Amino acid sequence: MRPTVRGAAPRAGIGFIILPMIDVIFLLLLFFVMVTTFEASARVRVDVPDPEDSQARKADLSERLVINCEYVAPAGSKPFDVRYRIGGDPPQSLDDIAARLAAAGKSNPNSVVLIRADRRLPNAPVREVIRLVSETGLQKIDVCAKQDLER
Amino acid sequence: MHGLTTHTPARRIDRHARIGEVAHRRSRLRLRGAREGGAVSLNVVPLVDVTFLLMIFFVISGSFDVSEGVLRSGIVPAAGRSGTTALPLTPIVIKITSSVEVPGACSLELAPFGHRPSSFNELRRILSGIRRQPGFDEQAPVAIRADDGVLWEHVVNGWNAALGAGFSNLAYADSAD
Repeated sequence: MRPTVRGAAPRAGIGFIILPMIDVIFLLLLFFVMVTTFEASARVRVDVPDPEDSQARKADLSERLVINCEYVAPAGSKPFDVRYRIGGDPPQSLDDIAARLAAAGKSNPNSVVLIRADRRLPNAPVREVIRLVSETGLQKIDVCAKQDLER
Repeated sequence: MHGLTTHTPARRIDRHARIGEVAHRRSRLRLRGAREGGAVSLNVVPLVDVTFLLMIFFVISGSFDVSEGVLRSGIVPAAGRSGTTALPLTPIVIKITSSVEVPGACSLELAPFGHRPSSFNELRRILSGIRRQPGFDEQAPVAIRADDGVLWEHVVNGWNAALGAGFSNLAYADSAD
């Protein structure tokens, strides 16, 4: 009778396969990176100006009231269109934005407004927003621009 | 003898030797195969999986991580400003006018000095020189006045130039002012 080694057979069946684990870990990582990116900034795609030797610095957007001014490609006879939205909210009219800015100004007059306007827009529609901000009593406006990555 | 072939001891030994030789040859083949990559193989499918996952990860994170920053200009609307900074004798106004000839282009003027810089780099150099003049410092208010048709990009370029020149007290002036 051949001598059997106890546990030899089960040991052959139990193995640690690392590749599916790496797969799952990367999937989880991917998921969390995507979710946090979208949630943290609620960024709307805006092609912000890219000045030469930019002085723009990284800043915490969560402390700012972000107003997005999006460029909408020309349709029909209109040269272009503008869409305004606060943060990642749905597009709003200037009147609605004025109401929200007024509420924000009342609750915290020191709120800083950050204008994220598309570089292809003319000055006029952005000035409308800046005018609204000044009318609601908010005193400080910053603008968004691309950073100089070589700095 | 039950119809079975009988083996003489010599034949039996010969047969056993042959079986042993075949087994030995087989084991040698298997070993050589394992050593030369026959039995041990690289499973490429999970590798491709992981590579694609990494690729997707970098593509997505790269496209969403926009290198945006904030121009800490301290810009306040010129009409509603309530600052306490004493105005210098000559406030600086950067006038940006859209070009009639070239769509999207603009021209610059620095009032009241009368400079007409041809680029934003030149504007920055001139502003740096002005900041060092008596009566001006980094707190001297600089107003940016652009007409309706000027691209927002040029407006931001204007105040980036002012910031780069060392001014920190910027105002956005209504073109109608």
